[in-house]
Amino acid sequence: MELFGQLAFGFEQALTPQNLLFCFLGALIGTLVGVLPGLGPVATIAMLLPITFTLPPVAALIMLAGLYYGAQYGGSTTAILVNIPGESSSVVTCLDGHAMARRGRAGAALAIAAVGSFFAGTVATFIIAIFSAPMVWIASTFQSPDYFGLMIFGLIAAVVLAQGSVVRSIVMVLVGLVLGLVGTDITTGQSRFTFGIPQLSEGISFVALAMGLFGVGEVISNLARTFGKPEVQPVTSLWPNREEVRRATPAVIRGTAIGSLLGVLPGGGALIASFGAYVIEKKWSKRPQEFGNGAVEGVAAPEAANNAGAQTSFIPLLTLGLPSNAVMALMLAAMTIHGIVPGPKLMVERPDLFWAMIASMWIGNLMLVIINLPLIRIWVMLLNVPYRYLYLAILIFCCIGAYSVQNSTFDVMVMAFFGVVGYLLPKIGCEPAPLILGVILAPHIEENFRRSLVVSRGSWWIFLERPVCAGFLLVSLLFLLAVLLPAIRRGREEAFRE
Amino acid sequence: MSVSRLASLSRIGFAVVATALFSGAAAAQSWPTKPVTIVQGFPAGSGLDIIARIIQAPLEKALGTTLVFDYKAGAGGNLGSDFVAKAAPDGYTFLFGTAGTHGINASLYKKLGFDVEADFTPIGPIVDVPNVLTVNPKVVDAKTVTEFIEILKKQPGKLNYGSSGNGASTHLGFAMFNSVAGIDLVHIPYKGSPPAIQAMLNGETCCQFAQLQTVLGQHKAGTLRLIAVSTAKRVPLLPDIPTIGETLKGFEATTWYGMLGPKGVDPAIVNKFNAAIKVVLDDKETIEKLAGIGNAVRYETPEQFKATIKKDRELWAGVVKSTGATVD
Repeated sequence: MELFGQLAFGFEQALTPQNLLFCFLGALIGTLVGVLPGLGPVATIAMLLPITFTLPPVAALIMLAGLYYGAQYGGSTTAILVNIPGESSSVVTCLDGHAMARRGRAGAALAIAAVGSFFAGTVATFIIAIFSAPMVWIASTFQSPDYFGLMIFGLIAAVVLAQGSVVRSIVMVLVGLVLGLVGTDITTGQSRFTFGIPQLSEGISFVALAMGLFGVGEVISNLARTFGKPEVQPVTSLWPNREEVRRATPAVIRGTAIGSLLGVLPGGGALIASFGAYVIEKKWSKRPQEFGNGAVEGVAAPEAANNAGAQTSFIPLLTLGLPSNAVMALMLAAMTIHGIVPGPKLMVERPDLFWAMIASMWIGNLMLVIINLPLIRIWVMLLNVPYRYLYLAILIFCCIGAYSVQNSTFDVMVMAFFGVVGYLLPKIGCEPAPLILGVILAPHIEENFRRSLVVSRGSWWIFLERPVCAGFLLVSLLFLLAVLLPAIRRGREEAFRE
Repeated sequence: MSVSRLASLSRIGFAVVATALFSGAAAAQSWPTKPVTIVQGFPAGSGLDIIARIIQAPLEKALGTTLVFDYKAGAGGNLGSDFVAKAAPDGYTFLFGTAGTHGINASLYKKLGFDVEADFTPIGPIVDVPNVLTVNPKVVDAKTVTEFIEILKKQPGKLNYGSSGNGASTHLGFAMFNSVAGIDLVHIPYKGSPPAIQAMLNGETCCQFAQLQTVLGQHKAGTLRLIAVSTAKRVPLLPDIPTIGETLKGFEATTWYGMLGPKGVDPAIVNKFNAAIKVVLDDKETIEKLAGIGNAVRYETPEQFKATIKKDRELWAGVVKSTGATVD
């Protein structure tokens, strides 16, 4: 088997003491960076980049890669413990992870997130090794209308995300879409909804918005409700019980599949994957009412998805030389500075680098489990810290995080603003999750919609001519009917009762 | 108030001014005494950042201080320019600008909070970054500029060209090429160069102007074909690839990256910084590293650089006007 020979070659490269050390360093720094809210892998890799120039390229890239997926692991910790997305891809983990923590199951949630991520990471590593070529082929046949179809599908799914009323969640999605459109129109260069503020020309910072809505909003409501005492039940057991494991296992597998597929697509694949995995779990669960109140599947699936997605997002970089997100752009810069030209020939020209990176991904995931499982005990102790100290630390780290993304104090103000919004929304019975998804999807939907029409010179048939796009639109329509019909029927029943 | 009192006051005033002048001169003499911040108007890992990282170590050595990169990304680089235009001209804040931020943006953006010439002190350019006319051979099977123009003239308005964004040099360079060559293609902007190149690979666009380093990997693999470079001279890395000017006389669309300070930087500091840049650009290893990804070093004195900015501003103003591109 050629593949095993190549993988063995990769492990040979990755298992040198030096490369192991840098893999461990990357994973460790990544975990810490992930745990600190907002301070993300982009800022950290940018800071560490000069250090890597003196290293051999393989060691440097192994460390940076470890840092990236380490951050995905760490991000879930803050989400579960204090309801703050440590990374943007752990936004969904807040929903049920934190609810589990409030029920005294913080340890179980952390363990499930860690083990689920490890499983996803292992599978994704093999997917990269075996299916890179066909997957990148699928992704590179995706044209603008196909992206549009996919995004519309995601948008319809957002409505399903909602716990309560369909009408309210549609309103939230629409508000999210409008917020997502703030900034410069890609096609014409027009600024929209920026009020002449240049800092808004690239749109509202997603990190600032998400941390405001979830993190700062949560802090305000905790302080308002209980004078600083969040309702947390005592931790019952650090490890998941048999029932939780039974429910988490299939969710992890589904999450891994979705994450591996969507991670390949450019433009925040891992982020969209975690939302997608959550929606699917909720829709097909026998107990949808538990979602939002600490459903195990709601932690397991998105965590597996974001880790798998983080890993498969390396595929476009390694096989085409095209970075699919900001972290990959930095990896590309690191390669270029080391004199490596990423592209279709990388696998042939630098097999040592290619296979060593793939092998190191698996080693890095193993290390992350080893780092994270013993830490769970310590993290859970964090819940015993009096909230009057904890909340100050949370707010300070949020400010650092919001600032560090673009070195902009404006973003700190944006976070504060959305903190207030995040506090007020639940008061009027609205949820932030559909809004966030609207914000993520709006620019993609608009951009690809407009671009499709430019390509077709104005003909709307382009959306039905391409089978991928037509398929997504059809499924979206069915989805929408499935959600709306019962709601309409219920509405009628209520009307009859009166 | 007595005359002697006035005289003594003015004497104090004179002393204050003299001290200020003297200490200013002394500060310029000993510059730099602390880390120097280099602002970039683009995110970490951008094409600009790659060049910044390559010259970082040798430039730090030549200046004898640490460089701190501050990324103020947004509005086509204008956020970074705006920040530096309003910074103190104390010799510790500079901008790593481009022909985009200081040539194109001046006419592309309807309102800017600064003037690209009056509010800056040019220090010196660093590199020339060639754009290269790139095609997907499966869509347009042209090997030369002449063939390319011939094929496209047969199907006016049918095909699309991509760019890394509205008003980017990849957009305006191609627009200029369109009008000089007399061909008709539809422009489709993408959000940065990776999605634009992806679109060229899957055939949504047929071709584009791309920064050389972004298509080098595809060129090696044969999936994209580089037809000609936009610079005046051939690129040493790819001596077989002709310039567009060899076919279309006089065609040149070069973009540079260079250092600028806020207006009013002490001339002594300007000269010291420019001299340090010269040392870096004469360094063989740095030249090789830059050439390895297709960039040629470009040295100019502060005065020459000032003239370059003025010339580029006028050149791109014409292109912006004829394409009708605006961003506001």
